Amino acid sequence: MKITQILLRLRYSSLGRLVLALLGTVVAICVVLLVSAQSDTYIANAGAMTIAILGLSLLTGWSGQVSIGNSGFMAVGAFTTGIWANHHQSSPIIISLLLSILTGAIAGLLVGIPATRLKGPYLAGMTLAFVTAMVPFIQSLGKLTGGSGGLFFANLSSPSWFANLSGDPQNFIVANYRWAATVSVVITGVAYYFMSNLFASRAGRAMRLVRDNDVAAELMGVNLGRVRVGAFVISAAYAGLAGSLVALLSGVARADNFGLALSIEILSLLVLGGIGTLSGALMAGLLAAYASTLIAKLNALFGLNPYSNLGSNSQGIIFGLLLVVTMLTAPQGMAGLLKKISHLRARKEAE
Amino acid sequence: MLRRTHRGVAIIAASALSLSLAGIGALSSSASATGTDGVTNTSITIGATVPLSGIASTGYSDVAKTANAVFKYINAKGGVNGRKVNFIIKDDCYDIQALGCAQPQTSGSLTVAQTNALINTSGGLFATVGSLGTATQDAVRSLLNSDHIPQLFVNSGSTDWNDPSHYSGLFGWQTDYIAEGKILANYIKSKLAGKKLGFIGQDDDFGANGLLGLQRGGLSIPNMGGTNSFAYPATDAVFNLSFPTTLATLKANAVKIVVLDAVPPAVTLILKDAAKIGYYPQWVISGVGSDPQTVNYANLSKTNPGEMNAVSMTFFPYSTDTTNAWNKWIAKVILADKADFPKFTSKSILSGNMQYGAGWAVTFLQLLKAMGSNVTRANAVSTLEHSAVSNAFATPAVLPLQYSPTNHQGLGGGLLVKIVSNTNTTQIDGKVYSTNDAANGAITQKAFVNAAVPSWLN
Amino acid sequence: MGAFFTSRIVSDILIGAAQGVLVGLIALSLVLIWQSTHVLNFAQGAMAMFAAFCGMTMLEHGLNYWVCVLISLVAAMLLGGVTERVLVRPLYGKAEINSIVVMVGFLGILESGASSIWSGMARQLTSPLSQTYFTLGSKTLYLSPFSLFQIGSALTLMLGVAALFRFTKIGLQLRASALAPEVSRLLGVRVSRMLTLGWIISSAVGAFAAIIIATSGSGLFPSNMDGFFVFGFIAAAIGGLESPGGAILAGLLIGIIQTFVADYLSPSWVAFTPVLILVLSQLVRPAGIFTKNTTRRL
Repeated sequence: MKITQILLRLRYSSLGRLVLALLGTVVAICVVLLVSAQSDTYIANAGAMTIAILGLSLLTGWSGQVSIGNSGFMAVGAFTTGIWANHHQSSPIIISLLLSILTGAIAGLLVGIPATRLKGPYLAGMTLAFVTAMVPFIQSLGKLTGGSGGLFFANLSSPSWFANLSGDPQNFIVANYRWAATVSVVITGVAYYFMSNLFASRAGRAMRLVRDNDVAAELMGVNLGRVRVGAFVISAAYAGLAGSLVALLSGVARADNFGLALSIEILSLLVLGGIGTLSGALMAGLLAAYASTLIAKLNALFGLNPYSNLGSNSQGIIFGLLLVVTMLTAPQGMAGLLKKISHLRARKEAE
Repeated sequence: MLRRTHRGVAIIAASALSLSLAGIGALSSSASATGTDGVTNTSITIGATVPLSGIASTGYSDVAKTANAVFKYINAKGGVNGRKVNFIIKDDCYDIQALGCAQPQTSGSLTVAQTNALINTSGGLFATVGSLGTATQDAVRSLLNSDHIPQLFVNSGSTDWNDPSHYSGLFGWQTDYIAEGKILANYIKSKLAGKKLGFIGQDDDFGANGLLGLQRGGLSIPNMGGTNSFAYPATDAVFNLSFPTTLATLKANAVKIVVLDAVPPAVTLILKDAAKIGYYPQWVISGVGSDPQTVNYANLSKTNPGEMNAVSMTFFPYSTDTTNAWNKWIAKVILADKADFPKFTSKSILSGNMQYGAGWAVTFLQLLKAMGSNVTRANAVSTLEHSAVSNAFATPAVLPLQYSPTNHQGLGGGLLVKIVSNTNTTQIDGKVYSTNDAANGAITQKAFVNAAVPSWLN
Repeated sequence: MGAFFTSRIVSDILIGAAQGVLVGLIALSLVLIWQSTHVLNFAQGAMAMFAAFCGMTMLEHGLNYWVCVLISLVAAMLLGGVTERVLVRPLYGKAEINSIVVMVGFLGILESGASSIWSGMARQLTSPLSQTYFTLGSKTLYLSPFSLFQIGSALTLMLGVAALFRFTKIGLQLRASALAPEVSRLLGVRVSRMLTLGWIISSAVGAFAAIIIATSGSGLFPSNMDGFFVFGFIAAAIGGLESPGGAILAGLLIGIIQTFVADYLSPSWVAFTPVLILVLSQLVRPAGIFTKNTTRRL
């Protein structure tokens, strides 16, 4: 318990947060190198989802604006990456990632300026409209975006030094999966570090104030519009990064992959993990990646025929039940649940 | 202090959770070594990504399920050369993520994610066989190619599967949209000459290639957007507001023949909207959109007494022919699989999707038989490329496969059928037409024979 | 005169109106729920679909179309009432996002559940009324007995709901419960019953729209309301979530403009037309075109 306490103290200084992020990333890379290649595909995906959820967590959890449009910004990131990758095949991926953050932020600004003037259901309606328009819009751009088929480009493939390191120098199949997961973990670490700093900053506090009492915030000299739009832009930039990472992992950018359903799932995962928390985003990201294997195992446990009507749709039912039950019984999500458990334990220890 | 520790516990717990979750995967699939290729002395592991849930699963899910029924049937008889087929089906929702898709939609391309899962199957994967869709399979052909995993019998009429110099292990199966277009054009030219033509096609390679085939077959139809030639957005097949005006234009222009390169929901909508304005042209429909069991012709004609009057092409014996040997065999195989087809009875009519699944499943069994004891990926490719062997495979298709070292497309033609209702389909002239994609490629015809099913399958 | 009614513009308006009233009905059902309980019901379309399945699959057992419609409506009312009591009630007074997530979860259960029970296959519902358009001379007048029923019943429903709210005691209680639940309770209104009633009415309206959509379009299948729900939601936001009449009018507007876009511009632009209308309308009137201005509360 002593070591954990020391580690946790680190959160309160900027340098400490950096150390924590680095430690977390190194531990995660060790995990990536130890587990199976299939687990690596899950970890890689969990990284991308964590980033998307972090962005939404800032917007919805901290600035109080419910968005159902973040998958639209992911699409912007994914297609920025796809278009860039097809025109500059040898350019390093960091350029794709940075460009996607930039285009995501610009899209966030364009949507955010009109949208943040709206409140509650109207904001939700506007973001919903944005994402449903985004898919056909991208598809209508013809050659640039590959129409409904989308864009295909080189996905992350392992450099030979890494293949040697991970013991797969011959055919790279496993090395490619390990490399993709490593890249994803590193990017997630960086995104996590920036978000933890933002949460602790003046800007973060201003956002919470706007969420809790906008009139008081205004009286205290906070520029409401600027804070709301700012949160929107940062959230969209994170979504752009997540979209770019998803595209790089699969080598595909398809508009159909970034529709309303994804937005809704990110929002649901955010709540399942624990809205407005960093650890909740991480847990939700992992849950997203592992959900299908876990449910498949559950199906097998109950002896359900996977190709029957019920078997092939059981995932949707189970995920839906999970959302409903969580919200009705533990609305603070997984992070909130852990918080409660640690509270109880602390109380016991005190007694 | 209390407030401070609980957050810490949360973080530690989160990392512990991540490690343990990662562990679950590690335990189950640590055996995914790269040397094995899914083949043992008693089994061969193959897999496919298909839509089992979501908007495209209607009808399409029957394709892989029927193939699975075929494999189960043969496995129960001891397999092929002592090997049982272990067929893994993964749901990719056609890679169109929507609310009805039961898979988590968080991995970008679901087809890529599920193909990764197939590649990492413990014990290895011999090949993907019968994965469905054009854009979906385009998305994974580089991945499978660089991992040297064959991608066999892709369920799509695109010409993307015929590129042996870049994708040596990639094989299509069905007649492609260009060849189909040429054969339909040939019919129109000979039997419906002189009548005014119209076209409605999906705005992707399905519509474009189908139209190209009609043009190569000698019909003068302008590209989509020209006079009497219309496109509809692929994403809007179910909810489309342009069909009424499109059809009104065709009717006003006195177009007598309308060719449809459209998917089943769009065909349903087009036929309904046409009936609403009393427009009954001669429909000529691509086999993709004309399966009478998927497009519900019966109800359409009940509300609108006009006969459906549609011509289409199929590469199988027409589905309502219950005397056909292959149809009888497929029905028997499906009847034996009560678990996956609980509602199929001895009176049920086969759907085109069922015939299709049985078609490539039998092709794979023939391949396995032809490989004998040398079951390797390289031998699978060279056996298929060896025309003398692969082109003699007996399958439910009405014409032979055309595989060769330079042709990985598969079938090259089919049978013309007339669709009246979903219980009334007849062949038009009893002839099997075959051709290739080229503008100058001749169309040959042969009499259709009710071929016997090889005894080892029975 | 006949030439006018069969002209391209009038044709587009008639086709668009038939489509638009359906969007309007979905919007109306969303507005009813928003008005009574301030919940954004993401499961509205799915609930309507599910209820439609409950009744309309009886067609296959030889039941009369209208009897099936009746069964669907009863199923919808039950579903709406139970949903409010079990899923929504515990959420009153909680953050907006809580109810959104619960209804999203419910949406997943309903859609996957419907696929499990009835399969994903599209069922064609045999129309009880002819869907063949009337003709004037040699030209088509884009109205059929069925589309007349479609437009007529939608308008009747809208007027009925408006009359219920405005002229009846129950309507008054419904409005009072939504606006000032505490005061209403003091005045003897059984507020909790009124909230349930709001959901019951809304659910029936939605199911009616789902049945019409399934009969006139590409059939009944588990996701057949997804697209309509999105457009209905947009229409509700354009009309102002407080205004039943605004919802129907906005729905009509969307349907008609979409048809014009499909006809005169390009069918691939149809999908993002509603968004443009929404953006424009929100820039002009952020709280909906048909909503009265309200003061901001501290």
